[in-house]
Amino acid sequence: MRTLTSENIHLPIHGSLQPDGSLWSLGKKLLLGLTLSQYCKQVCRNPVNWALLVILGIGLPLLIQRYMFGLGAVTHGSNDYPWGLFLGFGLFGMVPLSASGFLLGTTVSLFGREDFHPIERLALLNGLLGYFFAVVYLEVDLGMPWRLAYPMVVSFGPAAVLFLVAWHVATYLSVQVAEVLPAFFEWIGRPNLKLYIKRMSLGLTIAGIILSTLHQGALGALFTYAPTKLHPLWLSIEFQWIHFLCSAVFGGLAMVIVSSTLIIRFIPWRCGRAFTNSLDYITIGLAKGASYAMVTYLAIKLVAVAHDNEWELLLTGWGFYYLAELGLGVVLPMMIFAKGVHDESVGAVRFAAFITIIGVVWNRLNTALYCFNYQLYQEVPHWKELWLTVTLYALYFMMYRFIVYRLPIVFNWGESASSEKECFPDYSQGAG
Amino acid sequence: MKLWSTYILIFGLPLWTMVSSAYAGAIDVDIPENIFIDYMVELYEGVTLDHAMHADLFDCGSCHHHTTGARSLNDFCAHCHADSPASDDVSCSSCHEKNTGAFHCLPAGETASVYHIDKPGLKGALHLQCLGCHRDEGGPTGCQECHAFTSKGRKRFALEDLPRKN
Amino acid sequence: MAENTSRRTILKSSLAATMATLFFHVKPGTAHQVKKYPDSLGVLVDLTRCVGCRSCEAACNAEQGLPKPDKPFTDDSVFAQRHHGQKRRTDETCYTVVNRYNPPGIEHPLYRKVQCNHCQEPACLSSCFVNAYTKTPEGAVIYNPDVCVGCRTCMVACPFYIPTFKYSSAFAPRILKCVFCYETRLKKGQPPACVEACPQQALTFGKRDNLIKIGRRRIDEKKGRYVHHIYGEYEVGGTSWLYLSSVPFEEVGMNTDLPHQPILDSVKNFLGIVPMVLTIWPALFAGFHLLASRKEYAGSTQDYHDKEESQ
Repeated sequence: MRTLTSENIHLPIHGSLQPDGSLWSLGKKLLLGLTLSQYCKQVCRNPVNWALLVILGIGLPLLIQRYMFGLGAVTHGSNDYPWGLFLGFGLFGMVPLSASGFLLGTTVSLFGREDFHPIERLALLNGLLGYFFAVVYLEVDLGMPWRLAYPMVVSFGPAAVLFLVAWHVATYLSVQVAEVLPAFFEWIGRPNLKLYIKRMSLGLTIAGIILSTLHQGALGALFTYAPTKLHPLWLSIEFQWIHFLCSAVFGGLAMVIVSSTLIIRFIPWRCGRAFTNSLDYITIGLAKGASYAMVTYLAIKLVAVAHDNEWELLLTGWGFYYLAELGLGVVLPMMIFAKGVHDESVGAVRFAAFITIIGVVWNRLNTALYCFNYQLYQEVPHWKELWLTVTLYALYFMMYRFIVYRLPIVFNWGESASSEKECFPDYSQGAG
Repeated sequence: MKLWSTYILIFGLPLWTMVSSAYAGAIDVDIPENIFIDYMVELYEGVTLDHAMHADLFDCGSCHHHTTGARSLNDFCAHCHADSPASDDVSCSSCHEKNTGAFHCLPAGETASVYHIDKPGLKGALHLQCLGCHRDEGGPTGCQECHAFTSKGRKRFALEDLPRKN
Repeated sequence: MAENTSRRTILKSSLAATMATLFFHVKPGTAHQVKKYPDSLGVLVDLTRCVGCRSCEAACNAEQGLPKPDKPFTDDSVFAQRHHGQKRRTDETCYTVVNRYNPPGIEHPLYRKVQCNHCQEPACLSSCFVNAYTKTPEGAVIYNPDVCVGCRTCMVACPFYIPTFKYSSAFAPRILKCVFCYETRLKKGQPPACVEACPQQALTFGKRDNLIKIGRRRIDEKKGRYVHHIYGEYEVGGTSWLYLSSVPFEEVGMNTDLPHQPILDSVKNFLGIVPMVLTIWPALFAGFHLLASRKEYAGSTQDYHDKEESQ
C-alpha cells in the first residue's frame, strides 16, 4: 500500500471528495481508490493473504461438510463435552475480548473523557465484530442454526441464563451496530443520518453497560449449571459472574491495545493524525485501566477461594495449574502493565496486553473445556474442529481489516478535499 | 386338605407342591413331577421346571415361604407366619399377580402397614426365587440356559441375523 | 456526543430502559421452592436384584424405535467396553444402558441401569432457554424437538450426563433421552417398557412417595443387605427414579457428591442480580454522566437550549 500511495497521491481515501472536488464513487471507495488491477496486485503482495488463503482453502470445505453432514462430521460429537472449541473459544473467548465497545463508550460518552475519543470507534468496532463473530461461532455450533431466533420469537424459557445471554447479545449487537453506524454513514456520504444515532448515544451507551454487565456475567453464570462437573477452583457459585465480567474488562481493554498496535504497525497509512499522535498516551491510559481491573479480579478470585474454603485444593495438581493460569495470565501481565505505565513504555504495555488476551482466552478454555468434567477424561478436539475455529477467526480478521481499511475508524472523515494534510501525519516516512 | 396335613404330620417330610398357575388344578392331589410355565410366552418359549428334582434336594420352605405349612426359611415371612398352617393353594400365582403392570407394588385394599406392600409380581417372584438360589447353589443362571427365544424374542434382542445357536 | 444530552433525553432514555425492562424480562429470577409433584410416579431400582440381562435395554430399543445395536442385547462383551476409560453411557442409539461393576468385597458383580432419573426440579428444564422440556404431573421429563435450538446446555446442566445429541444429523438433529415412555405408556398409567421387561423386578414402578416407603422398608427389613440410603430421594432436589444398593453408591459409578438442592439453586445467585442491574444501572450511570459532565453543562446550558429551540 505504501508503495502504491506514491503512485496515487490522492491515497488513501479519507473523505467524500476526490482531489478535483467531485464525489468518490462507491466502487472506488471499496477499492480504496485503486484500479482493480492495482488492488489485486496489492492483495497478492501481502503474505498474510496467502496464509489466509490456505486457512480458508481447507476451512471452507470443512464448513460445508459441517452443514451437509452434521456436527458429528467435524467434531468428536461428544455427549460428555457438549461444548467444544466453537463455544469454548468462539463464544466464551470472543465475547470478553469484545467488551472494549462498552468500556470505551462509557469512558468517552458517559464520563466525558474526550482524550480517549480517537480510539472510541476502534473499540466500538472491535466490540461489534467480536460479538458478531461470537454469533457466527454459535451458528456453526448450534444443532439447528436456522432456529437462532427461537428464544426471541417462538418459545421462551425466561428463567434460563442462556435466555438472558441470547436476549442481551442480540440487543447489544443492535446497540453496537447503531454505535458503529455513524462511521458507515460518513463513508457512504450520508453524514446527516448520524444525527439520529447521536441523539440516542447516551441511551445506547447506558444500554451497553447494562447489557454487557449482564451477559458477560451470564456467560460465567452458565457454568453454575454444572456445579458438579467443573473443577471447584474454576467455579464459584457466588462470584462466577463477577469473575467473568471483571476479566472481560481487562480482556476488552487489552484487545483494543493489541488491535490498535497492529493497525499502527501494519496500516499506518490509514491512521489519522489524532489517532497516531495520541495512541501512545491512550495505550498507557488503557493499560492503567486494565491493571486496576486485574487487581480487582485477583482480589475477587481470592475471595472466591476463601469463600468456598478451597485452600487445600491449591496444593493439588489442579491447584498448581490454577495458580499457573492466574500467575502467567493475570499477575505477570499486570506487573508488566504496572511497569509499563510507570516507565511510560508503550512497548511493554503492548506486550502485556498480548499476554493478557492469551490469559483471558486460556481462562475461558479452562472453564469450558479443560477443567470441565475434571473427574471424567479430557476430550481433545478433532483437528477439523480446530481448523474450523481458526477459519472463522480468519474470517473475523479479514472483516476487521476490510472495515478498518475503508471506514473512518482510526481517522476522521473529511467532508472537504482540502483536509488531507491536517488529518494525516506524514505516513510516507514510515510512521509507527 | 386334611390329607396334606396328615401327610406332613405322619411322615415329617417336606411337602412338594407346585409353582405354576398353569398347573393350578393339581395341587391338592399330589406333588407335580414337572411344572410347565408358559403363562407369558412371548419373547421366550415356556419353561419346564423339574419340580420333583427340586423337591428332592430342597425344603419346601426354601421356595414356598410359609404357604405349605412348613416353617418358612424367610425371616421376613416369619414375622407373622412362623406357625401358619398350610394354605389352600400353594401355587406362586395364587399370591403373586401375573399382571406385572402398573401399581402392583401396592395392591388395592392393602395399607402400607401390611408387610405385603412390596410383593413382587409373578414374573419377579419366580426369577428372584429361582435365580437367587441358582446363584448360591450353582444352578443355571444365564437367561438362555432356561429360556429359549421365540422368533419375536430373537428380534427383540437383535439376534435375528445371527446364526441360530443350538 | 455528550454535549447534546439534555435532562429530557436522559429521562426519556431511562423511561425507555425501564419499559424495556418490563417487557423483555418477564421473570428472570424465579427463586421458588422445589415443586411438589404429589402424584409423581417413579421407579425404584434395586441393584441387588439386577442380573445384567439387558432386557430393559432391548425393551427400550423396541419401544422407542431406536436403531438396531451393533451387538445383540445378549452379548455380555459390552460390559467390558470402554470409551475414554468410561463405561457405556446413553447416546443417540440408546436411552438406557446397564453397566457392570465389581465392587470390592462381594464375589458377584453388580449391575446398574442408567437412564434419565426424571428429576423433581430438572436441570435440563431450568437451563433450557426455549422451554423445550416439560415436567409432567406424572413425573416424566419430556422434550419437545420442535422448539429446540440445539445449544446443548441441557447436556452441560444434567448432573447425570443423560441427554444426548444427534450429532450425526445435519438437518434434523435433536436431543435424545429417556422420556419415561410418557406418550406410549406413562400417560395411561402403565409402567415404562423397561420396567415391564425386567424379569427380576429390579425395577419397581409406582408412586414416588410409595417407592420411598418401600425402599425404606427394604433397607429396614433386610438388615445389612442395603446401604442406608435411597439414591435420588434428595439428590439434586429429588428424582423420580430411585436407587437401592448393597454397596456404597460411588462403587457402582454413581456420583455421591451431588448437592441435595436442585441445580437451579446454584444459578439463583446470578438470576437474582439481573433485575437489580436492569433497574439500578440506568439511574446510576446516568447520574455518573451528569456528575462527570457538570462543568460542561454549567458553561453551555444557555447555548445548548438556544440551539435546541432553534432546531
